[in-house]
Amino acid sequence: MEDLLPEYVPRVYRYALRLTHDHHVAEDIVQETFLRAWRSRRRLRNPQSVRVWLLRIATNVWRDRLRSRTRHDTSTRRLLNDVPGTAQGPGEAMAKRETLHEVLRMMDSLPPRQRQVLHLSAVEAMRLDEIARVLEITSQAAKASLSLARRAMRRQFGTFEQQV
Amino acid sequence: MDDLTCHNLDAYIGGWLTHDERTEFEAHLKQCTACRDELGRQQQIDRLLGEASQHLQPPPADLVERVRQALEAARWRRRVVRVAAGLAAAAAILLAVLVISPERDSPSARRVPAVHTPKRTVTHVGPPSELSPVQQLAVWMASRKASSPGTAEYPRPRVPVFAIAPHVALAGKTPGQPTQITQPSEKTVDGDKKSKVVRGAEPFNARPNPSLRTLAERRLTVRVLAAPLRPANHETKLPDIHVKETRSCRLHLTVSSEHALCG
Repeated sequence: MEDLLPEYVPRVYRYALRLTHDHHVAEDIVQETFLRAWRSRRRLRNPQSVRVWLLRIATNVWRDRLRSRTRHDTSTRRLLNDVPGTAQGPGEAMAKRETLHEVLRMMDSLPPRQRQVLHLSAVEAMRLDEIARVLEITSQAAKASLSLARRAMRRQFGTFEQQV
Repeated sequence: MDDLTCHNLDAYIGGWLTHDERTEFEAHLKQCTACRDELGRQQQIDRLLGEASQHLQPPPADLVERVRQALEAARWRRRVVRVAAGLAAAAAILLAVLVISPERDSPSARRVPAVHTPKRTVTHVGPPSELSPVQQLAVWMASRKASSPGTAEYPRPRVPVFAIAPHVALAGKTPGQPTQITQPSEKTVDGDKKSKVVRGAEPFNARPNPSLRTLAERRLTVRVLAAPLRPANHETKLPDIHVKETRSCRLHLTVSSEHALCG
């Protein structure tokens, strides 16, 4: 289990941060995820699917927290580091950072299921069946959620482009 | 814009189309400006999302170490719990072995056959551990019950009464019949065991008898475990003992075996 930590702690953390928008809650979710994973490590029969397994546990941890606590919503802006400005002028870096902020804000405005599906698809580059296993839904449901999320993102991004 | 074909844009992006559908949609893309714009926008969003995720604040530098420590703590907790559970189980088993005889749950300990041959003399003089402590205690309780007057609702049980003091054995008879009291080292009754037979005594539940009362008092002052009962010969069955009536006695035995068994 220790061998998995360097690679998968950041992944689980990013996913938890996407779900919770709170650093502290995300860290708690990461710890709880790996504790649960350690307790149920014998259920992991296929080591190839450790990413799906961990993210599914993280999803369950997040759901459990949702049931017991109110959502801590924080600004997406605080969650971003400074975008590296190499080979870019200060204006370009700022414009790009603003675009990234806006894309994340759009993503955060989606319903939780669509947000999860979009994160797993766009950030984790998961296949549809993997997304379905993480969220414990059918592939058809994952496909429908992903289509809805993409359309909503395109619609919002089109509006953003027009404003810019 | 062909709605039916444009509707496949998400499936095309997701790679969910068959080869023919994909070919058909790519042909459509060359003609449909709206689909091309949407496709370009979606690709830009995906790229930005991936990039934004990379630029999200990384986890704290010590998060991996904290998770590792949490796992280690969980491991220790589990070890401690397992050791504690093992110790508790061992203690429980040891206690059970010490307090309860292994014969307690055996069928012989639960069901003691009744005496159907009251005329036969039953003398119990033998080495210790011939009867289990529970059986001895059952006999002792039966004697106590038999010596009590009883009520109309709960009449006195009519069971043979045995004195179980060491080196003293009481021959069981049905009520009203003479009973023999034997003492060891006088007369051979059971194999190489020698007993002195005292005739003319009556069972406790028949009528008070001074010698038997004395015997009962002696019984109470002697450790029961040291004076098991055993039939005088192998043809004689053990007396009818109602184990159900000794349940409270078993409880007593569990709580304080020394005091329960000693007078």
